[in-house]
Amino acid sequence: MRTVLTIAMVLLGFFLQFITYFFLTAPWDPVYSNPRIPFAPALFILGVMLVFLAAVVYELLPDRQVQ
Amino acid sequence: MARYAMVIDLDRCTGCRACMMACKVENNTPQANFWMYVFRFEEGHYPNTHIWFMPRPCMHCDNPPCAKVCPVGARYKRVDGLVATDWDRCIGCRYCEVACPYGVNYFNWKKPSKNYYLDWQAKDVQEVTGGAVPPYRNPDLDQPYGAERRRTAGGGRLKGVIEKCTFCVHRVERGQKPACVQNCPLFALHFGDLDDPNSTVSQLLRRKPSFRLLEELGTEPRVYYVGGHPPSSESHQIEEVRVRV
Repeated sequence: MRTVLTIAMVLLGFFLQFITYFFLTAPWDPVYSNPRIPFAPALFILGVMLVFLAAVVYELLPDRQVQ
Repeated sequence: MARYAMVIDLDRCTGCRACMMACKVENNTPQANFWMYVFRFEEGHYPNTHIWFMPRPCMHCDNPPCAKVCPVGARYKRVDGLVATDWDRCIGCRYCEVACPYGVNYFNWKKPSKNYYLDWQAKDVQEVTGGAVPPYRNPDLDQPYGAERRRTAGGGRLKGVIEKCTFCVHRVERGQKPACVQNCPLFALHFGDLDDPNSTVSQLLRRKPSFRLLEELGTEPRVYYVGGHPPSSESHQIEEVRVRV
């Protein structure tokens, strides 16, 4: 359970970072002076936090009981 | 809609720093914060030395890194080209300070609460003023500006927020020039609309070759320099920069 949750959080975090950086903020693109959607950088930060929190979740959740 | 820009004629600048003082008085910036800073450079070796001066306001980039990293949308680009900071929305994360390659963002570590630009209680100052102390706050700075009606003018308002040059948005919206431009005694600073072919900035840019600072980074600055060259490895400052606390 905790492995699945951890991997899901890591994947979701990297996905959020990828989408917000390359498609919503695009720092190299002068066509859009502001981020394309409001609070896009906040979503990027959320992605980073999810990746790091995944490790915390993995450590705190109990492992499956071994018979 | 106007497309505002500033043109700085380096041939004319003598480094008097009247622009720095005008900015400080107009915008009530805190101690040691200079939204407009005049760098003093020296080149060559004795006896063939050359001293030149480079005013540096916020570049109000068309592709502003500071606006693209602001997690709360406090830093944003207005349609007329001004890069504004909404003091009410800023959470003081300082991401913009890290992202900006020009170092024009200043963080309010303390609550600014006194007349930093002049010590009005000093004896020699009081001999001139007769003891009068002008109000600290420029009342124009507290109004909302722009189509968004957000409070973006001036500085020295809150502890824990980032501030920077606003191109004197409160003056520009009244049809006036920024304080630094208005107070330059040698007309080295020019401000106007790039879309207006008759504006001073358009004429200057047509007449003289220009450059922009760190253009290779793709930030598309709105501050153009004419009559000089960018600082190079040959240029070294003749005094320690004391623009940060």
